[in-house]
Amino acid sequence: MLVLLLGISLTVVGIGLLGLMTQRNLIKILLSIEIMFIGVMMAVAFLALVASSPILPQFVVIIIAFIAALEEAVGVFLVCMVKNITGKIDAETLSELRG
Amino acid sequence: MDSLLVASCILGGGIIVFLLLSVATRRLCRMLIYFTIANLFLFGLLAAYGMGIIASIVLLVNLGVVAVFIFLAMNVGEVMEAEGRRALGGIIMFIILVGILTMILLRIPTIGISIGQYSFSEFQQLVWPVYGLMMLVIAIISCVVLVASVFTFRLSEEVKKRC
Repeated sequence: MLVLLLGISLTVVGIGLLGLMTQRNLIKILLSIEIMFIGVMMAVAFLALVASSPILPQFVVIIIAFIAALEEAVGVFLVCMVKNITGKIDAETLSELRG
Repeated sequence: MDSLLVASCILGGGIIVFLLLSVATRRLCRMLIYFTIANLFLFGLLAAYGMGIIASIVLLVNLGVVAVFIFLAMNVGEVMEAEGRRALGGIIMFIILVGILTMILLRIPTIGISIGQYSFSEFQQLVWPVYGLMMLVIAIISCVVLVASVFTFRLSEEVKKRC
């Protein structure tokens, strides 16, 4: 059973990685990162089933969830800035560093 | 076959399919809908293994992420027009999803908790139905407030432009 659940978690991380590698739209990239976070959350939550003290992994899941939400907020701000500067939300336009 | 295994396969398959659809689709509104449905499947999967509270918190956070994506879509993405037929479909979907969530929360397996020397044997019967529903209501209220704040933001921008 645990192998199946961890397999599902790994597949979800893989879907996020696939989206991260193949998409150029910044919103899609943000969503893919969020999907990877969900996959990791699932894996930690399912590992709590076999842990000696299940409270700690569940606490870690909560921390991961809130870090994912914070990362999303920062990403949204960055996307808004990129849209204002370049007029597009395409990752291909971000090819130069400044400063 | 064990019913829990079958439920895990169905819910896990649903998560994978809807996440793939959300990555593959080109329209932003569909992407958000598929992502929300995948999160509901995730909620069911975690709740089936007795992690209902964690599942509620994860669902709440992910619904917040969807609200943030709506904000992003209104600023930099496509315009989501609320046609009459679409709005009606949205209301029906909302009622169905809230109904399913309420059913899941009410029929969740029994959870016993013991922390150190304290143990709550009647956690499921006394605390969980009340607090689970409260979490659901808080999630819905938070989403409505977030979306309303986005509309307020847009409105204030329009007022600023006209002044």
